[in-house]
Amino acid sequence: MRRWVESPPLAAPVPSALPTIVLTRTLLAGLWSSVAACSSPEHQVGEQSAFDRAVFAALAKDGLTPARADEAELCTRLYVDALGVRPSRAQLEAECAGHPLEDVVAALTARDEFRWEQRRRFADRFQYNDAMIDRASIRALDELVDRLYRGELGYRDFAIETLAHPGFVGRFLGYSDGREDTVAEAAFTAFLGRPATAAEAEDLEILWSPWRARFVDPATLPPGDLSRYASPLIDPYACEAEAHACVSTILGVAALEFPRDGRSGLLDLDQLTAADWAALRAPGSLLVDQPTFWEAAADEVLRRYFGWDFGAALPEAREALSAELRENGGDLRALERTVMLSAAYAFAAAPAASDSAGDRAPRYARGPTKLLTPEAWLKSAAAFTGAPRGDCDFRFPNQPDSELGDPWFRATARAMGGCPGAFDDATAQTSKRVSVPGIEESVAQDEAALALCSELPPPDERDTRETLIERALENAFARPATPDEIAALTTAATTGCADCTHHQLSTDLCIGLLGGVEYAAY
Amino acid sequence: MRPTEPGHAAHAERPRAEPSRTAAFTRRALIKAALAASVAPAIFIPRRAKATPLDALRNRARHVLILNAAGGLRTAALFNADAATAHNPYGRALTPGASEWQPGALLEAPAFPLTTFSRAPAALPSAAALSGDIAILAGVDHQPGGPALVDHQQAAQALAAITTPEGTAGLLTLIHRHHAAYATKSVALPPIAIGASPFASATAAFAGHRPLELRSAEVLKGRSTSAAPATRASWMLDHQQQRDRRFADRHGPDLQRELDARSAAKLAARSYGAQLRNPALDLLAAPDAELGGLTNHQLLEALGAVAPSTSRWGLETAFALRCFQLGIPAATVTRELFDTHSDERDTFPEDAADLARQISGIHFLLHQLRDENNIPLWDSTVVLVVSEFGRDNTDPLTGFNFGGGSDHRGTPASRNQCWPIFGGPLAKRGCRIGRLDPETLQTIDRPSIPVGAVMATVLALLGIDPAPHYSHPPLVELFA
Repeated sequence: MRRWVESPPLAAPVPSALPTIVLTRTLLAGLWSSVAACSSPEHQVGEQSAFDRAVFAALAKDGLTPARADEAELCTRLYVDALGVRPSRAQLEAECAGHPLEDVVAALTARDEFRWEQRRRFADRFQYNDAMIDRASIRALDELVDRLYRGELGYRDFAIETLAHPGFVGRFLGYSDGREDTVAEAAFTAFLGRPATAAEAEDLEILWSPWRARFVDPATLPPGDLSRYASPLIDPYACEAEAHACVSTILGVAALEFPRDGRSGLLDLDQLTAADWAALRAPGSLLVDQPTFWEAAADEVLRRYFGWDFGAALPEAREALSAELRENGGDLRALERTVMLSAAYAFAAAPAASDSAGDRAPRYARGPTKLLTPEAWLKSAAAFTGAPRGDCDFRFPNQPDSELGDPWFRATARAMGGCPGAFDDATAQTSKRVSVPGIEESVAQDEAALALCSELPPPDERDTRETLIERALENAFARPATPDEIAALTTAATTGCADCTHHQLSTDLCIGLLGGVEYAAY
Repeated sequence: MRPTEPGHAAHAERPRAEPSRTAAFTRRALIKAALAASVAPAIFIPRRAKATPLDALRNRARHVLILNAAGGLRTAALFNADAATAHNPYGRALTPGASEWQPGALLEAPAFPLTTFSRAPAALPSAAALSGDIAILAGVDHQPGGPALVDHQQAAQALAAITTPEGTAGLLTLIHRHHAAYATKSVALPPIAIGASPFASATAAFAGHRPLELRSAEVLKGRSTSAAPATRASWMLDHQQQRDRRFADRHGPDLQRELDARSAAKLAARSYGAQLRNPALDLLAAPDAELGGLTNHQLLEALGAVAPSTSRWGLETAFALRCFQLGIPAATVTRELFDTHSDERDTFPEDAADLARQISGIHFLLHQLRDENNIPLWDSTVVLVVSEFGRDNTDPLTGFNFGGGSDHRGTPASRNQCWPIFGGPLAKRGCRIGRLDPETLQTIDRPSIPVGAVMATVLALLGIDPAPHYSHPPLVELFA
């Protein structure tokens, strides 16, 4: 740890001419204060986290001292992970560069956009689909997620509530067209990080047996409205059919004991009593007591911020995070801050030229590189061109008129493999998020780049072509352009765009830079 | 075959001597050849004189279409209808074609009228009536002798993809990687997967050979008339490719592959952009676009995708056939419609009729459509219907479970599927390879047919050596 902090500040292969690379040790100490705890006394700010200790213990065994990311790399990483959009150079310099990392992370995670992005991630995790459950239930579940990220609810209670929430359970109930109940399978995937075995699914599905899907007659809906399921109903006598009908034993004995009070027929959710809800929480209470519950949460956070199965490669690090989550009352937001403030998160993504381990170094010795989601790419590209285009409403993927911004955004993001949940009535299939973009998604992205870049305002004709090029690079990557980059692009433009006007040059630069993998990766 | 070459006189099974050349044999040459032949078989046998069974199969087809009836298709009820009621509660076709196998009643849908064809029958024959042109692979099992696969995801993966130390590759990915047309760049568009399925899997080393995946041909609606971005900023795109290369090179090998795959997709997208603008592929927005003798509207009508018909397959099947006309060697169409655990009586007949419509329509259209050499696609196309497993757990009297459906519990009834296969390259039609006990659907007469053997057959048909990818040899008997 001491060697890492006292090592030359920049070992990453960053172009040497960048003026902002001249990070003094004081500035660097300020930026890395949260991870410098074990180093020189003047920079002791806070304790090193258990997560950091686990990572550095592994690195020490391997004899590795990874390089730190430079400001542009780390700030961009933080911005995209927290807010779902690349920062501009102005934002980066005003809000991140030169600021203590703790302050930067605190400010980012306090913003509404941070909670919006986490709600989007849970929308994917819970597979929101307003063609399969009513919008009010989805909205309520989304508000539960928001409470989690406001710190109003611990993760354990959040899980119990979710597994007895119509927005979650209703999504996975069987329907009249032959689909089976798959609530147990969804619960395992969402909270235990693995599929349920056939035996587990069959055993635990019993605990959701009182829930009933409620179909809405399409004739009563406006044309094109696919929201064909209302809030589910509850059958209070579902467990009466035979003795032990609602008892699960495979993960521990749990019984769904619904109060018997002479009620008949199916019940609306607003007719349920506190005792009813307590009974419906039985499956959630069972799952949160599993030892893997906290590990799965830690794994999910690690995958989100590192982009790969970090926990499997370094179980000690996963254990450190899961213990922290357990002991901090299930404060998921605090856990994510721990990761964002960690040394591992701040490592440079590309090995240094002087890095003797090179390609042989384990993946946790490098900072994360991930691809922008289609939504993040679109928001970033729209910001680059100065014409924000809204977002897609992840809560209601099938709502005919999106509540948010530009319908073009939703259609384009969907074509690029994002904004999942679109229900195809003809095939009964729901669109999923594309994790590895293929040709179709690339074509859509190219077309989106063309559309957005075509709206770039004309540049100042007094600027030189080199200035246009330099500005385009800086705007795209939120860092100063190097003389080599400018020279290479100027040469290419001289050959390929010799007769271009300034406006054409700007537009072409935009199309090329936004369309590259370098822009899509962070 | 020249008379001076040793060994010919000894290989009477390949008589190729021509009268003029025979007459030109001198006695000296003949004696010399005979002497050589008496010795030569022990030391030299000309390879070309001895054909392997695989030779009968290799390059027999230019195109393969796989209809993936996903969810667990009740194949016995359709393609092995002489099974017991437990396996086929829907009955048998009353007027089947001349075939060894018994088509199910659900293949005998009402005639499909055609109104847009001037020289065609007024209606398409039913799939049952075409049974004489269709062969059945009876007893297709994932792992003969091994445990049954009952999970959808596992079974679909085992059906459509292989996993190697290099990564996971779906069948279409293997074709994209190894087909001669892509090595020589004579075909631009990759194999096509319509609808999500593991046929398009491509991880790690295979990532650069992903096929083109489309949710539906509908995504290309209107593309034939929209502006082409590829014509804009090409100099900058070339420059960006170099930047992307340097960017990927700076990262570790695990990320390099992912970034390279992303770059490859981008490059392919720019290459394919123009191809995908072909009006013949814009089936919905360019109904009058013609290719190979038929318009888009005619294709859609034959496959039931024109109102009032509401086929869930038709548009995608039409798209696949158009892709074949553009030279693409392989396409899959996946529809997740057949996991009928309940209410099967209500849903399956309609979905089965739709599938039957595809068989009829494809059979008709392959005879009508021509490739770039003006040869009917029928001569060079093989069509296969598959699923991840069959169905079981039904009451022997009703043929359904307590929910009016059927399940997939791993008994022989769900393990042993019956897959139809047809097309001009087949040498044997109307036959049934393998036989199943009508009561239990266990295989009799011969062992189960491994799924791997069928997929190996697909590769071999397209001229790809299947041995490195599948341990089971291909099925040559249909093509010999």
